[in-house]
Amino acid sequence: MIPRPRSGDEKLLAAVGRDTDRLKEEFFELVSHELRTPLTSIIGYLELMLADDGHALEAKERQRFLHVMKRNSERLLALVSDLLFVSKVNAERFTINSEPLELATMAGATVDAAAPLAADHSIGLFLAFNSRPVIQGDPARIAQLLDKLVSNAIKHSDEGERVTVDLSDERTHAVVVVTNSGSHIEQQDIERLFDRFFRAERADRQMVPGIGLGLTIVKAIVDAHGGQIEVASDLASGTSFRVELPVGDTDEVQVRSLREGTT
Amino acid sequence: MTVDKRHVVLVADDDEDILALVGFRLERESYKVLAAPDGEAAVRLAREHQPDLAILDVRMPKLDGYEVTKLIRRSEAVRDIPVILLSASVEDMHIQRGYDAGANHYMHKPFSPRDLVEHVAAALQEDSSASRTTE
Repeated sequence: MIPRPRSGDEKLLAAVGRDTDRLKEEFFELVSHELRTPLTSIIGYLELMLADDGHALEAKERQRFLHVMKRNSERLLALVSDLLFVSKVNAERFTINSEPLELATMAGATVDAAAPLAADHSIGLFLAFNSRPVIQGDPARIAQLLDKLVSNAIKHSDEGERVTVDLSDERTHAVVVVTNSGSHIEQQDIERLFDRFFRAERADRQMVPGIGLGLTIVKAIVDAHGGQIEVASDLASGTSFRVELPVGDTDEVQVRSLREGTT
Repeated sequence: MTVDKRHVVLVADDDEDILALVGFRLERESYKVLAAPDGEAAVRLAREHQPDLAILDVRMPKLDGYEVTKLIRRSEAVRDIPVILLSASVEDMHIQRGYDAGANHYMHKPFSPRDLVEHVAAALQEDSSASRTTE
């Protein structure tokens, strides 16, 4: 709570300063939590394995422990990468490569990669497209954008809900819509959704892991590609993120992913 | 029929890897483990099974570790059991809040599972000698 300033700018500034300090504190607390949680598993399971001189652990258990440590190491790496990415964007040192990309194939890979996470949470994950839009973009960044949108939708869904990825072609641009059927975001949260480190009230209340960088990264990638992103959310239909990305030169025949999979 | 005389330990954490880690380590020491993925489940298990000790993560959905501790302290059957809080926070303010809620011990994440079981054993020992002297 910030005390209401009684008079003068000075008091107001002091109050804003306190508010910023509090936010900074909350941020470091959240980052600390998000770093320490996977470290707890990595260090804990390592201790179990190192203490196993007498080889009391079964091979199956050792294997399971190794998988847990790997998963938690990846979680840590993802967090560190996100922090570095955002600092790069912030310092305007973020550049993209550009090549023709076929979105349906890329979205297919994203959905395949996210399928185990969706299954873990009993969430239906679907991909739909009538056409196969081709855009000019950075393959690593577009893959990151799709991964973030899909994993975000899964993270913010409850059991039994659906996440769908729809692709369409609107001549000058391709459209990707990622929808989760159940979760609803409050209007005041929508306005701040792309702010760095912002987390929706629901995410905080339900302790959804994360430090509020996913959508900031999505927005930075969309901007760098000259695209647009919009959010719509209501109680009846859930929340959807609509991304428009400019299509590339349609005469381009060097479409990498088209040659790889389809027809 | 044999009566199960093992100590029962309630463990609550919303991170399933940490929940499994603590559960595994305790079972190796022959404790009987009740595992809860959130605060509400922890309170329910505490009331239904009356554990001898509770290990609670602080940041949990539905009810956090402080609230679960308070509810345990208000629940006739389990009000005196030792409560150990686990937290990824290192803020003094949070530690104090844990003790104010009625926790006996506070451990920082990451923690050593060996240290944790040592604390569990010590707390149960203290608890049983305390109840013997009051009997």
